[in-house]
Amino acid sequence: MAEVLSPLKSKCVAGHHGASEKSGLKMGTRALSGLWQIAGWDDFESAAQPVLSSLGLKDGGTFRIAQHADGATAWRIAPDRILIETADPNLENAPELMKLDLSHARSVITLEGPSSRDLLSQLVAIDVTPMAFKPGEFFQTGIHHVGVLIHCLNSDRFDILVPGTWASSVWEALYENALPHGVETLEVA
Amino acid sequence: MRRLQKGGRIDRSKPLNVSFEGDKLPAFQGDTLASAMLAAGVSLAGRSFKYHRPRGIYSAGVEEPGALVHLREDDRHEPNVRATTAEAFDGLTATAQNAWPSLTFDVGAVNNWFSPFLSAGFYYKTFVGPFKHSTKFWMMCETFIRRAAGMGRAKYLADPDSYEKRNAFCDVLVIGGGAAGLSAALAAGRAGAQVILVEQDFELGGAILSDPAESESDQWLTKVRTELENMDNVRILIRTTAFGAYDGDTYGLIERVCDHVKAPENHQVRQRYWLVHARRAVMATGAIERPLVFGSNDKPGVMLAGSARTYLNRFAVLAGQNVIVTTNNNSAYSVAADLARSGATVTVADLRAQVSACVQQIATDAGATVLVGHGVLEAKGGRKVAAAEVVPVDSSGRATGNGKTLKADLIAVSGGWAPAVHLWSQRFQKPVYKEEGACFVPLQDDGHTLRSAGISNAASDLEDVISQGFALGTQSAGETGADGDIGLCPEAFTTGPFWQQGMSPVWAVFNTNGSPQGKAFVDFQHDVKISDVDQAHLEGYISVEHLKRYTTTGMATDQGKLSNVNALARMAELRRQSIPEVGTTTFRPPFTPVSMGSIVGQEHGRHFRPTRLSPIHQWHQENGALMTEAGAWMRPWYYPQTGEGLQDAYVREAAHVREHVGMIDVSTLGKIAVQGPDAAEFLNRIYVNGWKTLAVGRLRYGAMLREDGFVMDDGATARLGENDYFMSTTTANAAKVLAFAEHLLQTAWKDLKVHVTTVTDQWAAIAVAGPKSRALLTEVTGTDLSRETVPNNHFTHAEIGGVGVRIHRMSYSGELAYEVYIPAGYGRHVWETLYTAGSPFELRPYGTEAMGALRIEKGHIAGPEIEGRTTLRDLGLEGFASSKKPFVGSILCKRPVLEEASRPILVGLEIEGATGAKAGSILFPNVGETKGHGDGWVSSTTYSPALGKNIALGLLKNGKFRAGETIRVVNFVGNETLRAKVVSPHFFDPEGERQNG
Repeated sequence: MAEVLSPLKSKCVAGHHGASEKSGLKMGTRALSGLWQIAGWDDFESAAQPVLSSLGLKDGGTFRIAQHADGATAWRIAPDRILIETADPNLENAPELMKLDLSHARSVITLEGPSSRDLLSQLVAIDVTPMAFKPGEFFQTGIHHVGVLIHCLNSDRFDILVPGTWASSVWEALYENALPHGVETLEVA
Repeated sequence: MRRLQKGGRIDRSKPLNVSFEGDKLPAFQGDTLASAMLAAGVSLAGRSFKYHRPRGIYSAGVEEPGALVHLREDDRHEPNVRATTAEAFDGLTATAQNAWPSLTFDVGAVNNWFSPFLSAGFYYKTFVGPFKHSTKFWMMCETFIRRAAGMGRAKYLADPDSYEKRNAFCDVLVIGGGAAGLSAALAAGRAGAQVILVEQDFELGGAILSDPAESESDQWLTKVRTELENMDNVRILIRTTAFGAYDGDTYGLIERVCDHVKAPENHQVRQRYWLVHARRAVMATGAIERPLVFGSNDKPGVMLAGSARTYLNRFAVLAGQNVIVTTNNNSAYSVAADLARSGATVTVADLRAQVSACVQQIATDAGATVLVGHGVLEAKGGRKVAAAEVVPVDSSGRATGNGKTLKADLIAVSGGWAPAVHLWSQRFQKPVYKEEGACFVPLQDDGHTLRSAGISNAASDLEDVISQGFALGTQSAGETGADGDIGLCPEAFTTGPFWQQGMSPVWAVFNTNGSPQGKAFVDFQHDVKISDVDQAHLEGYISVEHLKRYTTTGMATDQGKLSNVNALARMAELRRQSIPEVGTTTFRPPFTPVSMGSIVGQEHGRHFRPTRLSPIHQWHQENGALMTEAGAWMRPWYYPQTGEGLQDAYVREAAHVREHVGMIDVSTLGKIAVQGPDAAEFLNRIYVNGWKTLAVGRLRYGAMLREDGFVMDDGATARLGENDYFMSTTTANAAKVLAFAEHLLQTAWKDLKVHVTTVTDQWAAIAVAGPKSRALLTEVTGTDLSRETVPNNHFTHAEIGGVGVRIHRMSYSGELAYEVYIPAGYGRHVWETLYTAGSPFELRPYGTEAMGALRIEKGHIAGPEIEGRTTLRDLGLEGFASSKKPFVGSILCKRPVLEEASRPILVGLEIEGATGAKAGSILFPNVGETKGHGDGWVSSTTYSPALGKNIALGLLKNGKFRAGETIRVVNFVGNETLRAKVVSPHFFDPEGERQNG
């Protein structure tokens, strides 16, 4: 089987960039184990629950708080849609619950470091201070006019899910804005 | 003028290399350019806007109207910088602006001689006349007028610096780092609110910095500042101006991050644009001292009194040795006293008839002389003040007797103070007039989320300033839920008298006949004289807004900082009204100029907008493709061989497809997953044709209309499963179609159980076209792709290079063709696998230009034809529309105007001669005038390698009946007329034998 090519592969070359003697943050990418959308209608909650339970997820979370279990993370991206990162939800399409493979549709940009919140505040018009954006929470917002999902993993570590065809441009916007902080780019794992 | 040996807040151990007009200035760390200029004895700082009159340093802050300079050199050159706010740094170079050939000998000064003719409205009255072509004439004259009048000049060089934008959120934004602002921040910070404190200066303190160093006020400042700096919930931004207050409790700030160094180093940004979302804001912006109006009040050596004190106490510069302090209020007495104590000979000319003995004593104890009931009628001197004519005046400022000329090199003026209400006014409304203090102040309204405190609220004394700030900080924090222990309000320190106490609203000094002595200015920045206000009144201007625009007083960067009240007062006097009755003008953002770079931030050049790249993009670049923009996408335009240009390359590529096989990256096509039990019904409604009978494994072409009946988009949709469809759209309309579909599902069609989701990013797509395409794909996939197994409009699943793909049998080129859909991460791998395997079949990549040529030959429509004005019938697609069901646009597409037989319809055009037509050319009959809109237009054009001639698609009135007619194709832009024969738009293989083969 061929290797999945990340649109960020050419960007993720190990090195230090921008302000010298500063290492405000690290930028990299990671592969998604799989990304699936499940969507339903009026009875979405009951239709989705068996799928979520089978992945060890308590429920689909809220619009701000992601749900996490071993090997699976769920983000409720709309009242009747949940995005799940997992290898395979082991789900067949049914009239009341449709699944959609989006594993190749998103790339993940990883941010880590003391300046990561500063960098986000440069590009995102929402409050990303520690009091307003806590570990486990996520936002759907825009970076450089591109719709993204930002997941706060811990106090200074974030995953940014970006549509794959925009990933390069969003990376560049982040990178250019990160230079004053000093940025270390990480090679693709 | 001289630098004092002691005092001030400059660091004498850190001398700086600073120059103005090539002359080195004695500057130290802590200086501004203006203070360094004054220390060096520079009196002439610039030339005025219109009359090129000599101008000096008039103030010590953002209100400076005269000392506007060019700063730095080459690509960091910056015009119109106020010397008073330019922080001195090592290597600072400044030059004069608006003067030629030199500042001291400025040819433009001739304007001053003609000033009687250059009154308000002169240009428009003189150069815009009722004669023919007057607009054209004005535009020609304007070029020269703008050169003669004006300010600094920008350079056409790329800015080498970078800028940053940042969003911030807080409970309480405190604007202003003076006593009121510090007190407000202290209270809010102690209460536990998230606070941002901004100060435009490079030090906190505001007016405290103008007090003598190491005085009681400094102890107060140090204590409060230290406490604030130790609060984790308080962010202090110095060198930061709040320039705009907007709806939604949003404030624009500019932080001058590196303007105090020669050049940003180590990748730091020059300026940072903050967009602050604050739940509450405290405006503690202080006040700006008002000028007094008298003859030649713009002459270098005339200065705001408070600024003279600032230069003395903060920068250790004695701005004059023989000083006339003229005032209508008490605040100038501290100035007189401090100047006198520093060795100047000081005379106070107080316009008021009575001044309390204790106030006079402030000056006289320091050795100054006080003349009560006197004012300055005229500043005398050449390029700078040499003397002042001081006259006795009545309560209106009119001279009551003969004056005397006093030797002076500095006339320090105080006409009272104007609270800096700009931000409040931007946000809410015009401020209200407060008789006590003769100034405009914000309306106090607890419902407002931006409120003022301290001097900006015309507080009466320092204790009032501090208590107002502390109380408003407490209140603001409390309203956001922060209710921690705020402790005690800081105690006031000793300070001089404020202006409101005993102020007399006398704002100008006139001759005994009621006229000013010579030119008396109300707006220094725009050279607006009191006589201009008089003229506007005579010409019938009664609105202050009209007065402002007619005379230009208070416009542009001044925004009424210095000019406002004096102009209004004159207008009120002429109209025999009070100032509140006349009203004030509207203040607009920005409060001070904002650089374009900071507004732009990083969004310029290739980051002006985001760019979208296909999963196969890198291959195209590595293999020599020339890329072109297609909306946000970058697409391969053509793959030139050695020495080839566009024309040769695309003709070769298109011909190759017709003869062999080519492949093109079509990952940019919009792709939408349509899922749900009502998906077929959804498609039935959104497309004009029927979908309920489409079987799994098949696909169908569809067209959709806007609600107004015009064609919106077209594409093919495949049925992947029972409730699962894969819709493709044009590259250009993908987002529009998705948004439209989502809109319908969430509003009009809430009854449908359907979800639409973009999968454009999920799938790479490759079109393989040409007579050898089947053979190639059969070879690569090992799958039966025969006509019988996979006929046109069917799809099948296969593997290429070990990757599962979906192969759609469909053609855009008119050739036997397939579209291969691949999970995006494998897009390049599949492309390369095909490329390698295609060698025996002479497979070549082709770009968008060849793709366009092929589709035009076939008569397939694209964006140039689906441009919002065309109907199904116009495009020859009316046969697709079902008459058995409603669909979006089905009613309005039947409007009579859209069914008129004479509407332009899609035709083919065979261009005569070797020159191709230009898209957008207008079509005219072969004879007659070529005027107006003609009979139609050319939409798409190409050279057809299949036909060996230039062809085009166009929309032509009555086109259906004009086959064979020769028409003219007129390109008015290129001044070119061609002739063309009207033919069917299906130039190539009209029966479809090749694509269906």
